[in-house]
Amino acid sequence: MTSESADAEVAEPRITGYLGGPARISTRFTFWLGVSTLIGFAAVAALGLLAAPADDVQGDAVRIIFVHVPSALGAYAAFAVTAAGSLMWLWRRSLWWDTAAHAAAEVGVLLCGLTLVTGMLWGRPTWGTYWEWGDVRLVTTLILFLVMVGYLSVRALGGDSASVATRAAVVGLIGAVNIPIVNRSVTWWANRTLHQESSLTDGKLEDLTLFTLVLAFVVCAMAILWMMIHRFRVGWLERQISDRDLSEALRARRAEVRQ
Amino acid sequence: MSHACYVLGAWGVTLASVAFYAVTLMIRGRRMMRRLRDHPDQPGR
Repeated sequence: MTSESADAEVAEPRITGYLGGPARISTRFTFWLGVSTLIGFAAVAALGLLAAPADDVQGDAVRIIFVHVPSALGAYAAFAVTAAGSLMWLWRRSLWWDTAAHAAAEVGVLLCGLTLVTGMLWGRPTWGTYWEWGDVRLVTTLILFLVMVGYLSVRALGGDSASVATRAAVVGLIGAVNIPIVNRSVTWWANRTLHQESSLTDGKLEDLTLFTLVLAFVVCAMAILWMMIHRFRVGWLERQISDRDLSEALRARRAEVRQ
Repeated sequence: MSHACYVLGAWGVTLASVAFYAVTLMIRGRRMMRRLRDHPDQPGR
């Protein structure tokens, strides 16, 4: 192999954005998405904490529904994206999907953790306990959280990037299997949970409470989209900078050998 | 504790966590862009 062809083999990778354009961390779209999300959070807080009526049974504790339920559904959605990205990595070896899976997993772990914490803070005034090991939804949600923390841990272990992506993809798919189990647990094991069935579909919510909850879902979806886009860009730039640094190290080593 | 403490606790933890994560994402992104810009081979330098 000639030195020219060896150099070409470790040529400087071109740093680009994920759509081939210039690399950037923020765009006009994400800026306005962020601003809209902040306004949305303020509206949900005003409606949820001040305007929505207290519940006949739960009193003011019902106001936790506006952060707890959107966090839970957001975590499901984020982990579903992780599963889709994992599948695409295993099937097509798509770096784009692998980066998206990682971004979604990080956002999902944040939301799943918030689901557990806000659920505990809701459980104490409502059920008289922060945690109940016999409650199948609490335990399956905790398992989902721990599996996805495992996903991030596998990512952080380091090593060959393709092997890391493959191992993480397997963990991501295992985590996704748990999503329908968590969601349907209150139906499948109705006598082994303190949770009620979906408040959204049983028609018992007041009009303003229902409106605020739907608004909270929309704002939560906007926040998730903003976080995923930004995390994706960070992951994409990290990957490209890492490739560039590796190429530079290889070129430097080859130059040393030639001297 | 009154219900208000639990409600404000749940809202506070949620908003603070999301805000903290959003800020760390912006900082990480800017750090990446700085590494990119400060590279000696970066076109335009």
